[in-house]
This record gives sequence, C-alpha cells and structure tokens, in this order.
Amino acid sequence: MGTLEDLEAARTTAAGVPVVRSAGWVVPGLARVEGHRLLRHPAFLLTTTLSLVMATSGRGIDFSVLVLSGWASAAIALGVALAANLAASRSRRDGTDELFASLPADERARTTGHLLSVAWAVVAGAVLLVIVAAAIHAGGGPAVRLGGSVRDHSLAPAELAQGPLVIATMGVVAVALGRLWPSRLIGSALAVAPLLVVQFLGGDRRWFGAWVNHADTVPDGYWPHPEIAPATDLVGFDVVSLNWHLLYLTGLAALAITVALGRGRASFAVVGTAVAALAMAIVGGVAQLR
Amino acid sequence: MVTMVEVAGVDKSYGRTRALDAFSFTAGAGIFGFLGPNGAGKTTLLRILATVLAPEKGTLRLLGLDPTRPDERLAVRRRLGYLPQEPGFHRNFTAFEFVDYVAILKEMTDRRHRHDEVRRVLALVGLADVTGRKIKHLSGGMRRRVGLAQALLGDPDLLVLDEPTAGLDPEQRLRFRELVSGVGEHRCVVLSTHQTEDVAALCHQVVVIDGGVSRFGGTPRQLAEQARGKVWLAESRHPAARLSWRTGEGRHRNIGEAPPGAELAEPTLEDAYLLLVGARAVAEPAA
Repeated sequence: MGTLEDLEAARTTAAGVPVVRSAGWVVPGLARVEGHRLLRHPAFLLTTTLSLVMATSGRGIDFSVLVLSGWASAAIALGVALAANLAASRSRRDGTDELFASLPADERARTTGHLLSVAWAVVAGAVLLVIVAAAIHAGGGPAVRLGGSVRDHSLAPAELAQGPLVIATMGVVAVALGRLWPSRLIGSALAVAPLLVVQFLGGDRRWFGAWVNHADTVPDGYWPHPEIAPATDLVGFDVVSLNWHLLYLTGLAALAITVALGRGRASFAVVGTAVAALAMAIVGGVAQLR
Repeated sequence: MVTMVEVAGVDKSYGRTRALDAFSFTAGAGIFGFLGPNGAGKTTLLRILATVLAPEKGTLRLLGLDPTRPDERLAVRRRLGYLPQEPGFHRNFTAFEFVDYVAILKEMTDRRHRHDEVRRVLALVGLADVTGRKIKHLSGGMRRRVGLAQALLGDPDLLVLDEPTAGLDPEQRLRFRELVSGVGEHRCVVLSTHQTEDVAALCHQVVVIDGGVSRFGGTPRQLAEQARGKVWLAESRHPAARLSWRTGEGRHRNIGEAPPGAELAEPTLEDAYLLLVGARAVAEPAA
C-alpha cells in the first residue's frame, strides 16, 4: 500500500483521462451552461417570438420609438424572469442540494453562475434590439408625430439602454427569489404579475409604463411624449425621468444580487450594500414619477 | 495500510433523536459496507463522510484531512465521490447534461477533457447508449446508474455510496459489483446497502449499525461466524427461535439459541445480521 500521493497519481492514470481542475473557472462554466439553458427555455423562446411580433406588427409612427426604447424587450424580460427563476430554484425543487453540498463548488458559486447566466439573455435582447433598429432605420428611421407633422427622432442612450436593463433586472430578481424560495409559483407570479396588473389594475397601463418599461404617459395611453429639443430641429424626450428609472432598475438589480449572494451572511458589507442598493431603488423609483 | 477514513466518538442528533452515539470507525483502501435497519444512523454517518453534515462531537479525518476546517474540507471534496440515498435529478437534463453539470461543480472546467470524462463514467455504468436521453425518460435503475456515474467522476479516492444497488436489477447489480470491486482495489469505498449478498460479495469489512452505535465490525466471514451454532433447520418453527421462516425446500430455518440435537446449518451473513439486529430487521427491511 502506497502513500496518499501515490494514490493521487494512480487516480489520474487509472481514469485514462487527465483530470483538469480549475476552481476559478467554475462560475463562468456554470454561467455558460445555465445561459444556454435559459436561451433554450420555452418561456424565453415564446416571449422573444412575441417580442418580435410586437416589434414588427405595431402600427403608427410613434411605435418604432416605443419599441426601440424597450417596450418589446419588456416582454422578453418576463420570459427571462420565469426561466431564470425556475433554474435558480431547480436544485432545491429537484432535491439535488445534498449532492451538490458534497462538491467543491459551493452554493455561492452556483448562485453567481445563475446570476451571470442572465447576461446571455441580456445580450440576446440587445442583439434583437439592434436587428429591430436596423429594420426601423431601413424603413426611414424612428420618428414621432408632433402636431400635424412627422419628425425624425433621436434616441438617447438611456432610451436604448432601458430594454437590456429591464431584462437584466427582471432576471437577477428572479434568480434571487428562486434561491430564497424554491417554488415554481414565484417565477410564474413574477412573469405574469406585471401583465395582470397592467390588464386588470393598471387601467391605462401607466403602472407598467412607470415601474417596468418607462415611457412618458399621455392622457390617451402610454405613448411617448415628444418634445422639440431646444435650439434644434430634432425631436427627443425628457430623458431625465428615464435616467431616474434606470437608477431605480439598477438599484433593484443590485439589491437582488446582494440578497442572492449574501444570503446567510449578515456581514456589515452585505447589509451596507443592500441598504445602499435599496436607497438607489427608492430614490430612482420616486424620482421617476415626478 | 493508509488510513483514509477515521471516525472517533462521533455524535449527531436530530432534536431529541440521537442518530449517532459515540460512533467510531476507521477504513483504508478497500470496500466497507454498513448494514442496519431503517433509522440506524447509516445515512447520517454517510452524510458526515460526504462532508454534507458536520458531527456535533468527536473527531473526523478524511483522506488525512480535517473536514471541519474549510480549506481542508474543500480539499476532501475535490477527492470525494458521493451518491446520496435520494440524489435527486434534474428531470429535464439529459444523462450527459446532468453528469456534465456535476463535473463543472467538481471544478472540471476544461470542456474537452470534461466531456471525455463524462462519457467515460457513463460508459462505466452502462449508459453509453442513453447519454442523450432526458432523465425523466429513464427508468429508476438507469437513474441510479446516472447517480453512480457522477460519483465516479474524476476517479475519487473516497467513494461514499448510500444504497447504490437500490432499484438495480440482478444483472445491473452484478455489473455494479464488478465496477466497485475494481475501484476498491486502490481507493476507499464506503457503502450502505440492505442487500446482504452485496456485502458478502463485495466488502472487505462490514459494520452493523443500529441505534447509532456499532454492533459489529469485521470481515463478512467473521460476521457470518457470529451465527455459527445458532442456525438450524427443522420441520416447523421452533419456539426457541428468534426468527424463523419456511425455505423453498419446505423446511424452516430457525435463528436463535439452538436446542440440543438441532440440525445446525451453515450460517450466512444474513443470518448473523438478523441475529444481531433482531426483530427490527424484520419489522423494517434493513436499509
């Protein structure tokens, strides 16, 4: 009988396959696998298709602007929320936590992998946005109706960033909830609740326009409210409230990430980060409504 | 012999129920089997050996390392394979995807080598033809083998298997014995089973555990010898027998204090186990 080192050497050769290990690449590896699964999830595929249909079938000059400023991405975000939540809660629902607890990669690494997997959906949403933007530009570019005339519209970076950010925020919130509560209902509720609120409680859909995909509201709905930028002929929007909306989304995402990764670790850094993120979300959320 | 598992005076309780009571056990390379009725403490002990549970008292060393220290626990986990009693499976994963997922969690991050290793372990358990089939479409025995495959990833030095043969048909069990006996030549395999034949056929050492304490520790032959002179054949159930059953040949096999002049039979490991654990083994199938 040899030493443990001899056994280790034998282990490598007995398998016939060199065992290559690298602790540092576990999270990217997990994120890749989970990201691929997320992109193949029926909820993601369905909402992406829905998004494309929405983007291409909308009527009216203003609709192109609404699509590019995140309206279509919001549909994808609902699918991502459902798929990411089911993935994040999978190990507890399926009873694999005991097995996984015996493996070198700990729960935090797995949670980080789930959080990063959302990036795949964000990239997919951004790609879709580029495709839709190209189609809109090919058709004459985004424009809005102002008074009796149609004017070209210049999309601000904040408007373009909104769609991918909505996907990211919904995704990481869904992961955090999935890690906290292993129930299929949570993800379903997260994906469906905004639609139900819009349909039955929101009335004029202002709720959705304010808290999910920001758009200026006008008396007859949620369409963009164009204004002529001072000293130019371009039509733009008041992006100040949109910037607050992005702050609110960022705060919400940061809070979700902190809760997901800091679960069971009530250190000063974790609590401090959570409080700061919550403050961002509250400040942004309140300010966006002004 | 290199001691690979050292358990000394380990206690573990769930509320008022004591699952392990000052349990001690050592193991080197070879196959070590745990026999005992349901609730005996086997699964708790195996969870402790798999670093999933921490003991409340006592000392534990695995592969020469102390798993209560985070850095050494990580080192143990890198050289450990574990098949839980109820491993759970991601039903929408294929067999390949599930084992590959576990391989990533085992820090096998080089994709090509990892995939080679996943194919290797799936072939070892006889699932090379169903790697692309979703787990929800696999039979219970096939799922068990998927669980075994993930435990074999990376050829671990310590293999902890909780009821590995549950749900396997006779042919699969023979294949399992062939596989594990090969692994046990150089590594430490600790398993629990309710198949006394598996213990007799596979294990170098056997521990009978009941009520959280060890009732016996030794070779399967030594365990069987515990029943020598206490097993006899008769035409009917004998009043002195603690346990008795009618065999296929129509005679009764009695276990207990044999009366004078009884026709003694060659004891088996199962006889000795039943004698040690008694009525609990009959009331609840040993697990």
